[in-house]
Amino acid sequence: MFSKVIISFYFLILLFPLGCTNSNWENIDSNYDHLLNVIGIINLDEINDGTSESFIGVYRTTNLDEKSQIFVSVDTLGYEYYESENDKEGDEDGFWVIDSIFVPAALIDDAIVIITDEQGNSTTFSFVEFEYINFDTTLFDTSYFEFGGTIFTVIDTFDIDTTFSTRVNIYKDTSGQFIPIPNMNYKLSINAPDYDLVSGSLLTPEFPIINDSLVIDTLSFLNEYEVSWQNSNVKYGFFVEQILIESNIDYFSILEKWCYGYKSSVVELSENTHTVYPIYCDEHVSNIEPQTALIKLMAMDENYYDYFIRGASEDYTNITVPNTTKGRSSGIEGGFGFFGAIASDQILRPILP
Amino acid sequence: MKILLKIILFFISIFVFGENTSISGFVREKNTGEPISYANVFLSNKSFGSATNQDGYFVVSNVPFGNYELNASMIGFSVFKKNITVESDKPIRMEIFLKEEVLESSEVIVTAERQKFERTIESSQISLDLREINAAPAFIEPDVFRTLQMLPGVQTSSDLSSALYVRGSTPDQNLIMLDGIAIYNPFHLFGIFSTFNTDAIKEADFHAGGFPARYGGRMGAILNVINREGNIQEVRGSADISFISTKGLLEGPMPKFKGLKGSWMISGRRTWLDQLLNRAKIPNGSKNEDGTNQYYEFPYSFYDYQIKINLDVNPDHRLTYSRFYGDDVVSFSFSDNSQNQDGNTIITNKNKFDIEWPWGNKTNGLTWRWIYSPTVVAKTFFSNSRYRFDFDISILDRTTYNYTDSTTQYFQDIGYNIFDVIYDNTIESEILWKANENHDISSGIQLKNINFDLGIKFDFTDQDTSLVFNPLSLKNKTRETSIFLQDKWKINRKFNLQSGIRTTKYNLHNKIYLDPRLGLKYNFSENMAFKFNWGVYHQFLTTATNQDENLRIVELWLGIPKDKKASVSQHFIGGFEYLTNKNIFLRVETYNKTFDNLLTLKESPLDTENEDEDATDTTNTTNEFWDTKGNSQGIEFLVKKSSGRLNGWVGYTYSKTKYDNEISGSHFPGFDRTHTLNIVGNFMLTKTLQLSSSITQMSGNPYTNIIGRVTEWNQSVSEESRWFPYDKYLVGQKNSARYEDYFRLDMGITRKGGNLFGVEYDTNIQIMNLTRHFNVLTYQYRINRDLVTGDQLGVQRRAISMFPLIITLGVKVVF
Repeated sequence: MFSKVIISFYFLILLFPLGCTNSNWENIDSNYDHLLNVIGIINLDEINDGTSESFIGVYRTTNLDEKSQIFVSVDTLGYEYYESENDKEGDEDGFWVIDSIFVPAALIDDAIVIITDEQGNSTTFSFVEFEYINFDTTLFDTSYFEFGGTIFTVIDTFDIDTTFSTRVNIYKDTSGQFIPIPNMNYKLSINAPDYDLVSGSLLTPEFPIINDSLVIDTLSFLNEYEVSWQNSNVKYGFFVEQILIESNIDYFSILEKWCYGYKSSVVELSENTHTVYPIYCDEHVSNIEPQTALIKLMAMDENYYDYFIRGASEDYTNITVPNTTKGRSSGIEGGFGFFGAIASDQILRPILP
Repeated sequence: MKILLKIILFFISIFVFGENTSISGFVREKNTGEPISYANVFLSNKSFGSATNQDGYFVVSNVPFGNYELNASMIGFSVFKKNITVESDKPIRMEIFLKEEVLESSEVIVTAERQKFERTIESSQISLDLREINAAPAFIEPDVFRTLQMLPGVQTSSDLSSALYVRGSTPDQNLIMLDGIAIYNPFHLFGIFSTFNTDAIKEADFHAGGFPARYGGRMGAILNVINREGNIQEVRGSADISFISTKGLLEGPMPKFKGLKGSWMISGRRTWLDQLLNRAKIPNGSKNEDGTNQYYEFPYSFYDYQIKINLDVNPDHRLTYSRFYGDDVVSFSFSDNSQNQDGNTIITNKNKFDIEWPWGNKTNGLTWRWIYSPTVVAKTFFSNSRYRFDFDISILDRTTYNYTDSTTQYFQDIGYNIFDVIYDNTIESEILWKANENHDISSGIQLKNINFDLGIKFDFTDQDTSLVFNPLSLKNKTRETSIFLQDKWKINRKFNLQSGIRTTKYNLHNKIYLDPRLGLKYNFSENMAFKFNWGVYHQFLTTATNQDENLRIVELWLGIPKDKKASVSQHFIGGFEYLTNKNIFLRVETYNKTFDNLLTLKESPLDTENEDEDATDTTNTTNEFWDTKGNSQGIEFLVKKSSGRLNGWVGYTYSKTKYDNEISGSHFPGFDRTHTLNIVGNFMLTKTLQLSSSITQMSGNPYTNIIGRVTEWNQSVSEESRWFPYDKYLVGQKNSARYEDYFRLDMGITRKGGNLFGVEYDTNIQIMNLTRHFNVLTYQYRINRDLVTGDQLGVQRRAISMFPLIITLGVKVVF
């Protein structure tokens, strides 16, 4: 009987490989009517610091069999010299630096984008093409684009010289006429060929005003403190405390010792006060140089809050298919995305370890 | 209760006159003493007869004085005959034992099928005995749920689940009982098969819908699994080993002590693979603190045991105690110890990672059956049922610095725990009264207290900090107080009417719920009957389960909250049944079910930078529900042959179920299948060789397909605010696509009558998915990237299969 059991067990093992069925990866396509996908921000901070700008990004949904980027052209930036190891001393060699320019496949660059205030004043936002400064041949992935500032994440490149550059592919007010004001209703209209009209609306928040004199003069990393402000016309704000570390060779190791130096929370602006609690980490030490802390309070309009904070309740989740959405819209009709407004106030304080 | 009974009987006695009496008693198997349900008991020279109920009890009432020949018959047993004389109004009580008889021919005249056909008024009811449960080829072991999945009206979501989806109802809408005790999550092996050990089962009583007033608290189906009572003649046992588990069963009569009468049965099973691998002691590369090897341990096991004890205090009083205990356990532990030296300092580091995850059921039940008179039987039932799911992760990290003159230790302990515990305590009392030949009246009261405790706990401790965080804590204490009254009325030879009402008071709601039930049967002829059933069914609990997952490993139960309405369903069922003289049963049934106030779990909001969520934000949708309504319609065909060398059934279902809620609109639920065909057959090749086979062909079930991609944005608020895009898959309408059709052919061969040193044994081989058909469980997606540029070229998908070809062997030993 024992021998029968052993034979049976081997019998099972041998047959199991025959039982496994494989399937291959297959390309899939899709066929549906695309919608416009909008990121629209009216940034009232431009009034104060002149650097942040309101902008509208217009994209579309893409098919499953589409490339994410479209090759546009190449541009010769220059010639790079280097000293060859095998050459005699004084000999030089080099290579041409050629930039390959890609744009996201989803980009819509021929739309008519108009923002109108409640008094009927309209401003047409114009498409500003991609501008770049000083970089080598890099191939980048669409998913690392950002607006307002750019850090390129490089894939499969060599001898990288990563530089910051201003990056657009967005619609901006190039006339300088558009100056957003608080507590104002704005309407957005986007008319792109072959797409349904997309509209949006929002009410800009009033600036939150931090009571600077009521915040302690010097912060301590290990102690809590209070921040208070005056009322705003919107319900929610986003509070940030960020430790500003000078960019140098030790930047990341210093940042680690400050536990990455970033705290944020959503606050109800009607409460007029927020307690900032300390955070702990093993890396923090007490014998480091004091730094400067930025205390920032950003008021969000309803659309912005709804999109970035509240999020959406999805009706489909599955463990084998992460990152799904049915498409979200906040303040946008006829498409996806959001049209929101922000207004901030910020102060600086020294912070001790 | 005694006073109430006496009052009732007093009024009865006023109207009962004349010289007659009743004949009652039990019909049992001679060898084991097991009661036989649906046995036919009749007086051969008069038109008086009855059928035994699930307890094997029968009563033939209003028998006039005279001489009779009493007959009792049942398929597979020789006919019992006895001459009796009724000469006084004193009731006659009998114990009838039927001897098992091997059938010589396939011709059967009177069978259990005939009894069920004549006696039952409810539609959609089926009783499976052990032979039928074992009929279909099994996945490793026979399983009552997998057999039920092959009946019309019952669907399955995938091969990996034995949960029952019945006519548009999800598994949480079914009341699953073992000997009358509710069992929550009755599954082993992550839902692949049920906790019911078939060796211990006597029969399984299944109502797919339209069930009578004595059952309540659920909207879908009723399954009552009745365990065997135990052999009253001698001690017997059996053992079974399969690829997954070993099973054993022991049964026998109560010890002969002071006239004790009764029986007992104990059965149990356990996985053995974990024990085998653990004893093999295979080093895993890590060391203990003392330097000895650590070994691989198989992380999963399950076990269960059942006990049933019957004590006949006297011919009229019986006490029955039944207990079930079963657990699945995932247990994994890993530790790593290291030591190194830095100058004069010795640094010792110990890490430990543990997962401890038991889940399972524990039940206890005590039933007191009192035969007050031949026509009045009272049952009082106490039970408690506990389901526990407790997923626990702990991470310990210790670093000790041993200096020359001191020692310092740093530690970090993290614990994460998800748990769901249900305690169900029930008292119920039922009176069954055979008022006369035309009225069977039953009435009862049930008090059910349920405690729900569902939560998530996170704790963190180090040398400076200790915190405990409960992101989820849902506790509910609910009470359902129900009263029911039902009358089965034989209006005349053609018409039978079963009417009932069940009322329930739910403690969290300020109202009384009424559940009327109506069943009508028209006997068109001796072999053909038409049936109609209607009923309203309320349910006071739900589960927090993601409906989109094909793998429902566990269910997390909750009582319906105070601010939500009780879920309710209305059943309309109509059909006809036909039983041929050769015992072939044909049923055609159509149904329409409506659902209201179903609670569908809301998924969490998208990830945002909301690290410190505002506690006053009432718009947070985590762990809340969508109100959902639905409708299910269908038509079912069943042809069933229960006896003979070739037996089995063919079932076909056409059905359509739709749910509707605010976020998804009208959509098919994930388990909906339009067409389902099941063919199950058993053939006795020889007296010792049995061949079984089943074919299943079904429409693919729905899924939500990916139609495209869309960019969404995240924010980074700092000195300069930035917004980052990231790609997401864009999904189409919920469940608007269908997987490919499902097909599976299973076969099994059982050889009986083996004998080794006087020990009888059976062997079997089961082959699942013989044709290796690729049945899609789900799709997996990935981005196809250009290897040189890193560019996203498009999206690809790959199907993940359900069961491949699987062959299993089993051995059963009887002693």
